[in-house]
Amino acid sequence: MSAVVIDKVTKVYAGRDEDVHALGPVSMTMRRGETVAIVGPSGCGKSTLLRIIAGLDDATGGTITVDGKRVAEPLDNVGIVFQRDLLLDWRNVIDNVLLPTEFMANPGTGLEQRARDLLDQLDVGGFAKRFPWELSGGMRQRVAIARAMMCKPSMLFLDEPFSALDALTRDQMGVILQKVQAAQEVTTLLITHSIPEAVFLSDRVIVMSGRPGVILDEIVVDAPRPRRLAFREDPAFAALARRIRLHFERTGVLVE
Amino acid sequence: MSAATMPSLKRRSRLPEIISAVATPVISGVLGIGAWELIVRLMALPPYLLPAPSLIVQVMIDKWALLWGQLGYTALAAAVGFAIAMVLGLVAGAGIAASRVVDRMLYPWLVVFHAIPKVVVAPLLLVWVGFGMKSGIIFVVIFTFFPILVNTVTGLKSADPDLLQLTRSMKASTWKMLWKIRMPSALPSIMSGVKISATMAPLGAVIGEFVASNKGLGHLLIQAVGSLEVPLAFAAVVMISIFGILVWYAADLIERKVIPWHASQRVPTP
Repeated sequence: MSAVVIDKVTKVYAGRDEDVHALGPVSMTMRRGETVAIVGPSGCGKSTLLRIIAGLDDATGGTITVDGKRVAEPLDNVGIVFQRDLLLDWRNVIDNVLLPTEFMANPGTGLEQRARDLLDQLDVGGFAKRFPWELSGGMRQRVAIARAMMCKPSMLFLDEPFSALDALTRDQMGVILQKVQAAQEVTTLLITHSIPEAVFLSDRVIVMSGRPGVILDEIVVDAPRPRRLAFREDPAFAALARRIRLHFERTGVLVE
Repeated sequence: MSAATMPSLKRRSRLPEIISAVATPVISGVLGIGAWELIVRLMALPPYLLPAPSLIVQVMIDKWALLWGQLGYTALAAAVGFAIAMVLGLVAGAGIAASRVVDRMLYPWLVVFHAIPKVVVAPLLLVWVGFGMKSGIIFVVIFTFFPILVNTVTGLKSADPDLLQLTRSMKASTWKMLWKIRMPSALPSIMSGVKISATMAPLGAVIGEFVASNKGLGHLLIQAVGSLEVPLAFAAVVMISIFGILVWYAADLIERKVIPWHASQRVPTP
């Protein structure tokens, strides 16, 4: 059974002169534990789709069900990482990671230990008492991932989480994300502009067109996990990346 | 990665910077006062026109008990009025930021109220609450309420929308979102309003005392000018100024303690 079913979802924004059709109709599914990447040009509605699935925005048309329940409000048990880390400057690292537990009715025990374990897993364990402004961009984003994983979510939504980072740090973040996913089964939705990132991290890549974003292709990435960085030099990787690139060339998103 | 492998975060000594920050205005101040003393002596200006700084200091020493007592009265009015304004400003600001109805109902009228020249209201206070500290306190509230209100509203409304959306996804209640996200985010803005208001509080108290009090530095100032005791008037002005400066530094210190994490409070790195 699919964990997430998206059925003919559309989004139209009311404009001053005319309405803006931003998304869809989009129909797709996500299986439990699967990592799905959505790759598409700016403004195609990828982030809007993520917010709609998370229950943070309303769809204009269509339905979304998660574990058989129709989404009508912010989902329980989801961790989100945005492009900006959105860490609270007035809290140190460990208190930032613990933030979601403060909104739970029954947060349970051993929270601080779990937060420390997550930070260790993400290789920033030595910075628990530091403040966000004392960290580099990559370290901040790792803390944001730890915060998203703090309440053991069944789903992890990543909205261009590494796009503000330099190329080397992005590569490293891809490796680290796989470590986190290996430690806890989590259905992951990754929104990205990057074709290599989408192929490297996902089990399936959804290729979207420009606005209004519709699905151009669904590509299965059949490669064992955890993937090593050398996977990027694999001919299979190049073939998948090429297939995605051709879609963007055909639709005029990429022009030489 | 561990903190030990990170580039050193050792803080640079701030001593030279502090010395420069203190010494520069002290030198310019000494030069200015020296020039004033020289002009008064060279031109033989009478004290009722412009007293020399040395005479003002002499008066301050001679009438220290009087000045100190009046300062205490003015400071009390300023402190009580400022505390009331802070509570009112924060509560009204939170209400306006939280509710569109409250915003539309209150905010335009508060702006109208703020636009009324405050000095015009002073004689009316005499009619409404009579002579005494009450007038001074009310005047301080009128003077200091608005900056706190405006900065509270601005701060609370400026919380990062992505951050609010993230906390919504964490199922944060409105109250917890206000307490844990909006309020700390708004603190830098609120503290700016508090600092502006804090320096206006002594001014409000003094103006209140001009018209509706028989005590305080404002009353002393008016009396001294009326009886051509200009050196005493200057001494009162000096006391008011010193009080204002101390209030400013106290507010600055509180700001440092309340928002040490804010970019404006961090030690610049080399």
